[in-house]
Amino acid sequence: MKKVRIILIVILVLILAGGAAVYYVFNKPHRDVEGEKALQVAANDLFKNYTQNEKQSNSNYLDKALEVEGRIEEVRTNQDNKTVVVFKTDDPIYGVVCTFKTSLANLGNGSDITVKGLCSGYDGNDVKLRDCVLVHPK
Amino acid sequence: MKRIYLFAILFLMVNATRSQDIQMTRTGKINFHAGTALEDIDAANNEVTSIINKKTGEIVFNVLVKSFHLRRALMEEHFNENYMESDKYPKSTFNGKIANLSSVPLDKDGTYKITVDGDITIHNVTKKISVPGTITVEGGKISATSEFKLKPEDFNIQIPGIVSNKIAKEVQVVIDCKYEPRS
Repeated sequence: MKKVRIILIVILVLILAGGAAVYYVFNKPHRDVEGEKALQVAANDLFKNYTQNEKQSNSNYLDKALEVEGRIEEVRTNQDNKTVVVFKTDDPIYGVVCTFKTSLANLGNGSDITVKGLCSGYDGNDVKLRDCVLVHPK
Repeated sequence: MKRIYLFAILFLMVNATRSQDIQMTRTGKINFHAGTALEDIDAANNEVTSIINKKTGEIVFNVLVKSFHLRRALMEEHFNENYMESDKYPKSTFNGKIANLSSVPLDKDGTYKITVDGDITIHNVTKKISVPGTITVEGGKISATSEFKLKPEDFNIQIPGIVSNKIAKEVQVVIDCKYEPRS
């Protein structure tokens, strides 16, 4: 009798643990770039590397957390009301485009900032970073 | 010497009109709906680059797959790893033309129905498509919207049987882009 009870308890615990594991995986949180260790790179170098060797750059940067430093060429707001910063590069038109997680005030053209975000790759025009947060200035 | 100047001026003028003809966005929006009654699967990408040439009617879309956001992290992971294989194929593109450009005066404010024909590349598979859209010109700036359906199987994207009743056979794509003259 005691044995049966122990077995039942063990089975119940297993079922609960399994259920919790499935629930956790199903509802696991999105990646949070703030807690990730980031690779540091200057905006112009990131852009240059991608335009010169996309394949190699993808294996270095794609989907990685990057900390990118550069000079703001343009600040915009996208249709989702998130702030978008375009970093100046040696190219007259294209560069590094960073979409922030939130809407930020007080970012001025020409200022030097550092952002941390996830690299989505090179779309043939620009290098794009998503889910960005501002690292400097705080 | 004079001739050289003349050529230089002509060259500059030609280039100036060319860049005026081009409008661009880097924050274009593309959503898709791939859910069924059993599961909502909606994705949004607000980081799309698109370029329109008013003179030739050419339209280009450059879309990074990893910039699509899905509600659940697990869904986003499956979308990237199992279906789109975005590590291998990070980019989707469309290169096409407004088929009825002659009846769409893009220099005049107004709203126009368009048909766009071109090549779409998803998951490294290129297909010809022809889709309807609407262009609005306001104060010289172009906005474009379009809605159409794509089949995952046409792009060699296999949906495993176990989730096949949760993922739509036809995925609805919704495009909303606001262009500005390229400086």
